[in-house]
Amino acid sequence: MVFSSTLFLFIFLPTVIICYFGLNYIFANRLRNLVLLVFSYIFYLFGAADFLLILMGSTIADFFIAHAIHKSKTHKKLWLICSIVLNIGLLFWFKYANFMAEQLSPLISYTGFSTQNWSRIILPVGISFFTFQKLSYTIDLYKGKLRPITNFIDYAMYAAMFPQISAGPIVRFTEIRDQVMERVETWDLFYGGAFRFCWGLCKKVMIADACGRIANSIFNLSPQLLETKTAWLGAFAYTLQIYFDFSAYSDMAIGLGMMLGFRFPENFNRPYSAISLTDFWRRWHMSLSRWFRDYLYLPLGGNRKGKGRTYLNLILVFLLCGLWHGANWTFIFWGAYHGVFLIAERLTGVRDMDAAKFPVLRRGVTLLLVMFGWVFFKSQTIGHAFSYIAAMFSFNDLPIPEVVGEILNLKNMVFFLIAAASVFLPERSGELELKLLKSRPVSYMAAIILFIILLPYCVAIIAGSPETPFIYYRF
Amino acid sequence: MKKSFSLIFVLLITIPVLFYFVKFPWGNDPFSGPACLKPVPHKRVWLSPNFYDSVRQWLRCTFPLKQPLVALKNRIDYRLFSFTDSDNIHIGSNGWLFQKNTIIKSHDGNDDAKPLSKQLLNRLHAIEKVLAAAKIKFVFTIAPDKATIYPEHTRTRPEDDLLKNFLEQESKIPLGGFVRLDLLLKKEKLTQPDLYGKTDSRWNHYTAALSANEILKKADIEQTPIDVQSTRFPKDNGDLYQALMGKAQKHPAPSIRHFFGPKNSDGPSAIIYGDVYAASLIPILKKHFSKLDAVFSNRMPSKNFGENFAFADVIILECAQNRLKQLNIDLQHLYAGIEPFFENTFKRALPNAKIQPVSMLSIHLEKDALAIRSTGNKSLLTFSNVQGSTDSIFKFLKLSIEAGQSNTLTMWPEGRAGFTLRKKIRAGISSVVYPLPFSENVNITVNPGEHPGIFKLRSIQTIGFPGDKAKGPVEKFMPSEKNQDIYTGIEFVQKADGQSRTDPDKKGMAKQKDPALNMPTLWISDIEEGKIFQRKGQSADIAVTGSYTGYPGAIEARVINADPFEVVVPWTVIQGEPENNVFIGILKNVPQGGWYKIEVRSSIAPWIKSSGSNTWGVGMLIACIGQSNMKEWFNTGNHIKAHPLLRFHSNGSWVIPQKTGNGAMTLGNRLAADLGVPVGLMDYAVNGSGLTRAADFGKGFWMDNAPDGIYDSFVNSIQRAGGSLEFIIFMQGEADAARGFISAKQYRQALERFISDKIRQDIENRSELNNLPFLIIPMVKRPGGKDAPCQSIRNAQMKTIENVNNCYLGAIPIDLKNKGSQHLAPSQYKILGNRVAQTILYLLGKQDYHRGPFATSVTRVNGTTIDVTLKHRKGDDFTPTADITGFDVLSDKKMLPVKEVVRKDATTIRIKLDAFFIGPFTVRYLYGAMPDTSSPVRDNSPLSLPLEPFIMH
Repeated sequence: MVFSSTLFLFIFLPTVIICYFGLNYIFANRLRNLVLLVFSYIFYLFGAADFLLILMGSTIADFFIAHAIHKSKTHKKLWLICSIVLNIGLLFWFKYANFMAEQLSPLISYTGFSTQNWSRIILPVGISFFTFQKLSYTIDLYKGKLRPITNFIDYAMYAAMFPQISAGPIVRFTEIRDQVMERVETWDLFYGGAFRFCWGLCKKVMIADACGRIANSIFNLSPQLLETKTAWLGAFAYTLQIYFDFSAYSDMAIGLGMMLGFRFPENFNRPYSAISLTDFWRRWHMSLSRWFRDYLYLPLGGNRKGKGRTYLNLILVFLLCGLWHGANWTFIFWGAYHGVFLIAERLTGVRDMDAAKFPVLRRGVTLLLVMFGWVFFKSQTIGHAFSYIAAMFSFNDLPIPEVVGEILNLKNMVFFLIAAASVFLPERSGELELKLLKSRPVSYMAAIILFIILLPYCVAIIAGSPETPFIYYRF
Repeated sequence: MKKSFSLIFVLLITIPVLFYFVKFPWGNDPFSGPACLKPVPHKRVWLSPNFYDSVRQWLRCTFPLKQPLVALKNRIDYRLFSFTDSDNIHIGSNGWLFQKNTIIKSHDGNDDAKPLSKQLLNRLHAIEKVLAAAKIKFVFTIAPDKATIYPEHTRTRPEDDLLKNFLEQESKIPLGGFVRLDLLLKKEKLTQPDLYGKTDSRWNHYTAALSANEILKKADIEQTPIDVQSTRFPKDNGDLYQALMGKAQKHPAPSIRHFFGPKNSDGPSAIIYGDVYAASLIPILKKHFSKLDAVFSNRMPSKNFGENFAFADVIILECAQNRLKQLNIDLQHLYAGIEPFFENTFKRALPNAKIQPVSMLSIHLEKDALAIRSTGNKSLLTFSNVQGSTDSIFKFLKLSIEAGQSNTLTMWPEGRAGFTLRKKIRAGISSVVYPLPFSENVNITVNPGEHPGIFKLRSIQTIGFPGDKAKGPVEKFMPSEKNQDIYTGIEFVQKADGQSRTDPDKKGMAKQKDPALNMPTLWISDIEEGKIFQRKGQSADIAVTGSYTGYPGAIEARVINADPFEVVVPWTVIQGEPENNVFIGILKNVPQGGWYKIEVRSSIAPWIKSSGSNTWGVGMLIACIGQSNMKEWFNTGNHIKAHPLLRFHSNGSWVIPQKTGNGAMTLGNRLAADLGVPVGLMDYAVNGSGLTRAADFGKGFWMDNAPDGIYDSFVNSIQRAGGSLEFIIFMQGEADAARGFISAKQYRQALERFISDKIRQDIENRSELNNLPFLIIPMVKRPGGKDAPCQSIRNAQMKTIENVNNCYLGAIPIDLKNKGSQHLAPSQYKILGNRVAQTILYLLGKQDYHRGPFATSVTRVNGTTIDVTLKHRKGDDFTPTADITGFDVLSDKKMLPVKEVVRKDATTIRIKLDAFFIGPFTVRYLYGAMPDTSSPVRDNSPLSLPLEPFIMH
């Protein structure tokens, strides 16, 4: 179920809110995790009904494995391995089996077998996210950072929470342990959540989708037909789309969490104001970056085992980060691309350079590097990505394709320019910005604009246009 | 404040749900598409993604505030951004709205507009003169697009080349009955700027009245002063603003035919052809006619409505500017309809014309006709020096041609002045009329038939229509009854040596006949690779064609088996005296069997041979039509290797089946193996196509009469493959079921008409049965709890099978598993293919059954037990013995809980209910919204055929 759909907005969400708060009121908060669990499973049914039993089964298995880890004195590691094998095994099967079958098909046919009858496996929604989330629970338990949950409902609710099961943020149990057990729902929190949710909705429906229309119309063209300006426009539009699309989802997930009394970790912090790629990864998809750092990079030795090992760890982590995004060589290349530049930043000292030095130049260069990376991320094949980048530097004088001309209408351009302007925002909120946000008239005005004007407009767009899922749904 | 805004948010998202519960009347048309069908929840679908997809689509479709919200969004887009998502509306300057198809023309530097406009004008002249000959007045007008009258508000607008060229041409050769409205309205705009509403797509009432007056003036009808205020015009001027706001048209387009009158009993009667513009003319026009027959169609005459030209004094043809290209004037039909009423026409032979073979055919003057031996689509002859139409006399060329089998004749003039005529001619004598372009002399090229054949041109004449401009008495010429040789004065020209057949050079011929001096060389026109000729009985007649040089004497042909070598038909003379360097003959009774090759040789030099390299066969052709579930026969599953005798015909050509197509390959393989003859399956289903017009979701519908519709494309493809079939398999209905409002009766009537009036009229039956056998496969089960609307279509299909002669149940597929969508799983197509093959073999007398068991009675044993008695057609028992699914018992319109359904004995199924019941009851099997087909009843015949669905009281 997509957040920006009439089904979610007008059937699912009101039902959740009414049942959640109604039953809280009647049963004095005793059933709220059960209510959330039931609705989370209903939510999942609308995304991947045939995989619900897999989600439930793996949740039950992890719950008992976690207890086994906790209780076992001698076989903790074995139980952890069981959990990792189970979760990564499921992830591998559903996400990478098709890719492996394709890649290994010549080898398999050499042995006399054939992959011709291979039936493509469908990727269950959110598997990459809930797998990492559940793994963080068992690993943290193994490390002794937390005690296991005794109530299965609580654990199952944590594993399947509908606000973030589809596309994150990846919430570690340590981050919301207290909220799972005891949380307080307040009007302040609810308002903040509703505000954040609507803000995300507007970002998605108005800005991300407008940028997406431009990007898609350009990326769908053969690179040979692209003229230089159009190619740059396409790359930039996708750069904006992916940020606004994903951050919008995160805003909505965080907002939904707040409405239900949770405080999920932030996922973005103005990533396009980063002054280096290292800085970019501290601001982009922060919950994933932190997961890889804490559960892969640091266990591999991090930067504590010498430079060579650090670089190896970095490239390994980013290769896996690329692979996590999807089973395609383009994602692997994209991961490697970032890994290589992160190493280069360490080698050249850019990483440790004073932030005050050449900030504009560094922001510009970082943005460009990120943008080239997104070309690989967006393209279907590496060949297409290179052809596309070649078109960006072809400096030819072809006419703007008619299909692109049609997409560049006033409406799309207005939203695209608003999105583009965000690139020039300062790297962090300034004092004036914070002061303004806190001032009563401004927050009133913002609320009126958001709830009374933009929300109905967004809903109208949703009602009148085909559903456009979030980019990260497919990961 | 935070609490208030929180509550506002909750209210905003809750209100639509409340509207939902009170069934607020906004929302979408519940029948606007398959997505809008309400899914029925059931325990078996709760883990099916399809069900949730169906729910999602249905909720989206019926979302209560959809319409006002869409209107809100569109209003903002329109006002703020001058933008719309609509594919049909263009926003001009200052908020002016235009239909998009009136803005973006096909103008992109191509030069189609000029010949198109010439052809259009030529046909309009033809109509005008033909009608004038029958004393009928013809008035034609083009309703200008709003963009033509108000180009200043369009912001951008390429010129409409077609209109421009048409007007240019018309000014050179004026059409007597043409009412030019664009100039009139542009002139009127200077004094009355409001001719079209700012947001309307069409003209307003004032402009309609003005235009109607001009039409009356042209028809020489006395006009009365028009009072726009008191006239009741149609309410809808094509309100684009409403359309922009996503609101459905409150005023639907007029139905295809209307009668008006009598308003003026002394006035003339008229027929008006036109579109929505015509609808606004009618309120004025109808006051002046005793009867006004309005046909809202771009086809003149309409194909289905049988309007009677004989009783009309005036024919008015109105065409919107943006539909000019689609204007379809069927001259053949029109000419045939009014020919008996012609006066003041003259018929002539062609005094100076020559008939000359151009390529790949021979002509020979026989006693009563000109014999044309044509080798197929490359065979051309010309009628040269034909006097064309002039300002004063419009001329038609009229041919009377006899063909041995159905074929398609094509005629076109040299250059691009006239139009290309393609006419299907059937076996026997056909008349063809061709309007001659305006030119002193015209050369007309003719392809007598796209397939090889021998034709007899029995007469050829020009028919002159002086129209209104004729001065003085017209010379009349009619060939006398006794002497039908209307070729007097026509010269037939041999292509090779330029010798006229009417004056042969005997010396030259003798020289030519000496083989020693003139050694022949032969080239056979090879038969298309993989082609299967439809058998007639056990064999087929094959046309053999080719060309030669020198003198070959008689041409002999034989058929050999390709592998292993074996003579199938020995050397046989197919043409004794070939002429014009081409030969064509019919090799009769080529037996059905394997893959053959053809060879020809000269009788006087038998060592000189020409052999075809392509293989072809004589066997059975079966067309597969319908929608996606039929298409999937060819596209789904790759588990079968094709039989060597199996071929598919797709997109007009023969193909060897590759890997995919479980259904088609199972069917074809079994038939080929059991019958030992080549089997050709014609793959002409169209995804998403409906049967009726109402079920046209943009993919076409089978009842369509349009020349570019899916039905015509199918028939044309069958014509290209020979024009005859042995069976048709039809699997369709999903699109019509999706509409929801098409009743079983409507569907049945349409299907019966489709079989009788279309299929069996247009396709030759080569089966042993009286009519072309039509095999219906009733619809498969629809998943996601959406099967209920399919039931009525299924019932209609079963009823059609009962009603129509030689219409059979192809196979029952309802017990077969879906792939997840409404298509069957690949493996299930194998079962279905086998079942249909069984039916065909049954009809050919090779099998003794093709249907499974059926229920004969239901009996209440006691208050909780019901027995269903079966009758077997082939097997003598059935499976499973327990846990049978698919049965429902209803009493008082409520479903009674079924405890178990088990086998009692070989012919009885016992249904045990949970609770005691009294009163009348109904038992149904595989009926309802969600029939459970997980464990259906199947007999123990070799094919395990299912118990046929039933409902019994």
